[in-house]
Amino acid sequence: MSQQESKCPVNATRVKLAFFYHDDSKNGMCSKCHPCKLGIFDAMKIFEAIQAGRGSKKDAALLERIAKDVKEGGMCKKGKDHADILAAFLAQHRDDLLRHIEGVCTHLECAALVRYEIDPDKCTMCDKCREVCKDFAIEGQKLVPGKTGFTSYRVRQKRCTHCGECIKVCPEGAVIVVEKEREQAVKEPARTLVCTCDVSGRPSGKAPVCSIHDTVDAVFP
Amino acid sequence: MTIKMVNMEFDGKAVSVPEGMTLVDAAATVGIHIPNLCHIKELRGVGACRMCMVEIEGMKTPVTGCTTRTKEGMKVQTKTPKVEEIRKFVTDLVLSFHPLDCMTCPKAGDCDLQRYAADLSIRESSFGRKSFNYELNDKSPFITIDNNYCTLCGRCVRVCKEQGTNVLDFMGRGITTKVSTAQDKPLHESGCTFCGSCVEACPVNTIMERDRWQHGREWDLEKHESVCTACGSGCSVIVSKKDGRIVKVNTKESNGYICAIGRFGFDSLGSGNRITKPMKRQDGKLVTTTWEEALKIAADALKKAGANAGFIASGSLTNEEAFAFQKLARDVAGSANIDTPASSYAGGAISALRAAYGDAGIAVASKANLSAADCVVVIGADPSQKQQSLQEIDVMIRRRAQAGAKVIVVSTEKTDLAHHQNAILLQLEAGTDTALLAGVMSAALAEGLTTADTKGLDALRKALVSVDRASSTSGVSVEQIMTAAKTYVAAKQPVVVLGTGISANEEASLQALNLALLKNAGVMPLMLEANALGVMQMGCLSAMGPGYAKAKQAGKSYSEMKSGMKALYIAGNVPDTDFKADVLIVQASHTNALTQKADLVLPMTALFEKHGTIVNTYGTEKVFAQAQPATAESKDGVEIAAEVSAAVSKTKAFKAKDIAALVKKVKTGKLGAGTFKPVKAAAAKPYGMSTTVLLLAMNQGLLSGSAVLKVIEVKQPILQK
Repeated sequence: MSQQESKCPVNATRVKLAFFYHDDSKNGMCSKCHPCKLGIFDAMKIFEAIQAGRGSKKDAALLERIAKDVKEGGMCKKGKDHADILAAFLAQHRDDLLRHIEGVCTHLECAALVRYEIDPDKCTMCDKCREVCKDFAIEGQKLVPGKTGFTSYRVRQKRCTHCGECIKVCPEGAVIVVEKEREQAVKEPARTLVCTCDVSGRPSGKAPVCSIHDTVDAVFP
Repeated sequence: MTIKMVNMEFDGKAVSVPEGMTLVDAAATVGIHIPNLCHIKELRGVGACRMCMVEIEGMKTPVTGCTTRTKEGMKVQTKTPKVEEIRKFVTDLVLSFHPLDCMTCPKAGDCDLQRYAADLSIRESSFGRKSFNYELNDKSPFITIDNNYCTLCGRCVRVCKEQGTNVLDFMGRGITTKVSTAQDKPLHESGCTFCGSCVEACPVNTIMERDRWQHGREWDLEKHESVCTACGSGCSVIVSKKDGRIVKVNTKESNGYICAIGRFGFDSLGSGNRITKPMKRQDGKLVTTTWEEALKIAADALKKAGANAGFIASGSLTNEEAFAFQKLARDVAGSANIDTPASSYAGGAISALRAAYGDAGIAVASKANLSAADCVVVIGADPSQKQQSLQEIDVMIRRRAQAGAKVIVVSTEKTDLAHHQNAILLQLEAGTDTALLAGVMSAALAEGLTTADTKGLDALRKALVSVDRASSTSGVSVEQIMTAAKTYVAAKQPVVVLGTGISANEEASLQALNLALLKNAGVMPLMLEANALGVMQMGCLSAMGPGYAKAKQAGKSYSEMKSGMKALYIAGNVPDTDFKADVLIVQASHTNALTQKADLVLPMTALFEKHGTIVNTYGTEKVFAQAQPATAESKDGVEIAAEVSAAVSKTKAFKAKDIAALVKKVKTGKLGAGTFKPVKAAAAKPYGMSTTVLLLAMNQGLLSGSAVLKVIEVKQPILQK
């Protein structure tokens, strides 16, 4: 891998799988058997969704299923090794994954899960960051000596793409990366179970007649 | 060769299955279906889809059922939670990028993916929905490819490669793999022969017949078993109809092959050049007439000609039609002049076979097992998929070659088959077959070939020539002859195929038979017509009556009848058009160059409108029923013959319904053991005929009414007439 190893395990695992998937050399995937060629691709896509802030709670279970079934159903060792990488990630960094699904990257690497802010205490208002920002996400006015009344520099979050150019040019290290606020999870509306079957005539203590009633019975005994 | 049976267990059920079979096939023989997307019976498994995973007692992990072979004492579990989970996982993943269009999909009911999704109760994929928006490839005739539906199982690719067409392949990698032709060209620009084997193989609706959309789904179709009579292979097909209209034609055998003419040529049944009514010549023009009048004209002509009437029965007739026809000729019209076109293009082979194997020698092909051969000697034959001639035989030989069998091609030119890596080409000068084969035989004997049957071997030895002499006569290098001879000696189950390149010449055919007899090899004389063997068995030969019995009186042969007959009655498609007779009666299904010259044209049923029995070039008898009612006023050949007989003579007339019983009584004859017939090894005048030209001439009427004509690359001048 040419890039420096990522500290964020979610990002690191995704990069590993993607490298395996897209590598054109003979060390890459052969794309012959279905579990590996389709499963690893889906794992990559799930990681991408999580890193983009679109993770959902069932993703962890899906990744676990992919790791298990690619390992068992895969044809060659290479595919199984990458299922192992996925399984190792799930075993060691499950909390990291769950945090990512909630929208937080504690390693501050996953671009969509962090905010860029400018520390007004450190900022000398040199205007270098505003010049370099290609998305026009930084606003502020360059300090002219002898004048007052300048508004301080700030990052417009909706425009910021977290490219990191401003961090590179800032001589004071005033651009800082912070975790995104945790969003309130949207509560899914509960499903209403409707059944038209005749409850009165149900045999008691026998095999279930209607799965809906059994569920209701289990929930409201 | 006996197959060893082994005892094993499937899901606790004790069974006895052949050893070395794949688990999927073995389970199918006892009624257990192991789900699979990529397995094809008789093809080497690749284990790609991982749907056929099974657990075997004593093995740590599940294994694929399509690559594991049966063994004594194996205990297989096909439905454990572990393998069910892998099946669900794979189906789930495939469904995540397969459009869920089952409500309108024409493949519904016949779709493997749909079946497995239902079996494993997967309503929708739990993984993210993916779509790659491939362009629909509908630029080529007959076949469309819609990659959006592709499950990447690779069945089509493997089928195409294995039969030697080599058009389809995978493009790209990973999930974005695409089944495509070279450089993503349309099929008709990439050398596709439109045989449709890929359509047959596809588990979903990715590769489909072009006009399949909205033409009935699996449960709407009524199916009929029939036979395609366009060429010598006489392939068994299943004709599917909806509302009385043919919508598709499939092969009957699993992993069978039918060509473009068989699969897509059914449009010729209702084409514009179909003969719907009897036609007579009036003032130099053909005009339609009634059956009564037509029968009267035919009867008058036959009565007037008497013993000087000629009858030609083509090999596209069924056994029943041929029997009725020869009965009409011999018993009713009182003429001994009856023959079939096979006695012209395969005349030498027929007399050679009768000399070597006895009277029933023509049926020698029934003993040859081409599907198990490990060495195929193709003499003077050019079966070719690309040129659309005898495609099925080409596929059979190529399948063997792909499995490691050697193919020795003896031909005057480099045929398509000779391009195969396992082929040895002996390219000789025209007319030198006897010399070359004598050289091969003497080389083989020198290599230490031993035969069980030594009777007549000494006489044969005397007639052989040295390899050097054979080389100088035929123009084939000594090394080539030696390689061919060594290959032939090493073979265990060789088959010798005689094509139209030599079958017109008796000496060359005899020499080929000598070569076959040396190793007791199977012999397959190629017949171009579906029922050529059956027609001969039914007695439509100048020297032979029904059941290979000697005819009471030998009549004129096919080529002798070309001119000077008072009345000539031709039934079916024949390769030649240069017939001269006072009254020329042609019984055909489509207008062609011959019907243009006829004085009377009788409309006959064609292809799937026929019913009866045929004996194809492999010597296999096939019984089939009518799949489609007769078009307009056309009639079955048996009926026509019966009606003509009634018009000729009231006392000698026979009834159409009696013919089937009479055909059953016709003897099949006993095949002799075969004896060497030494021939002089010397160069002769060129005698070869082109299979492609003959076949095109024969099927001219049928093809010019069908869209299949467009995909036939070879544009012979015959077709432009």
